Amino acid sequence: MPSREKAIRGAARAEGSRIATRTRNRMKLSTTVAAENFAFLETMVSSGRTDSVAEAVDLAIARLRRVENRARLEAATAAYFDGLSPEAEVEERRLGSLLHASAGSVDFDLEP
Amino acid sequence: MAACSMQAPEAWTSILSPDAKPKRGEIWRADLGDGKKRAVAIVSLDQRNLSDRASSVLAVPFGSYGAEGPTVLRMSPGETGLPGPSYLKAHFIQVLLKNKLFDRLPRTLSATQLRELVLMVRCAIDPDAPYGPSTR
Repeated sequence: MPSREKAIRGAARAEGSRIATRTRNRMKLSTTVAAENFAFLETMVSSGRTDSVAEAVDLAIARLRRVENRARLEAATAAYFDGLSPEAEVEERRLGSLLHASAGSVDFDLEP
Repeated sequence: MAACSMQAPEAWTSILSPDAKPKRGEIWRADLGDGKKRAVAIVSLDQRNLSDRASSVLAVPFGSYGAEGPTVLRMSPGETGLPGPSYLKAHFIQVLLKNKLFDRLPRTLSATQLRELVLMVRCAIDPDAPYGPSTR
């Protein structure tokens, strides 16, 4: 088989595999949404930000999940530092000072 | 609680090889400049850790006090070999000179603990690091 034909068949197989994976990872969702939300999703498609309404839904949900994840991490980080016991607070400060001073002994220009 | 996890029993020194090189996941006692030997976990890649051209590693220190949080993992003496419960504090990830490492403790972090530690380091620097019940 000529190498070009082999390459094309290989690429087709790879594309088929990608499509199969994408299909397996997607779930059917049949529902209704508010008219203004549907209009927003359609705008995302018409403006070229996504290729389909389905992709627009995925993108919108991904953004919401990122916002919620960030809020969760920020709240937990604040809770950790706000909730430190007096001993833990002293140790945090001590470790910070020690590590700061310790970094001074590293010559970053000499490190590869 | 006493600051016991910072100071490891002297008996551990006897199991050490004088020319041991730090490896990822190992727990070492290190000199951070205050005259105490403090436990740290090595997190940098072994290609760096074992290279003669690199004189430093990346390490995360253990503390004796704290609470579990996005960047802190509470570990039992059985997991670390340290005398008491300790707190691995990823928000203190630090460059440490290899010549500041004294000796290696017998326990090493598991692959799962290392993955968790990396995620905690990410939580310390990336507001979009995955964080929630499904990620820990």
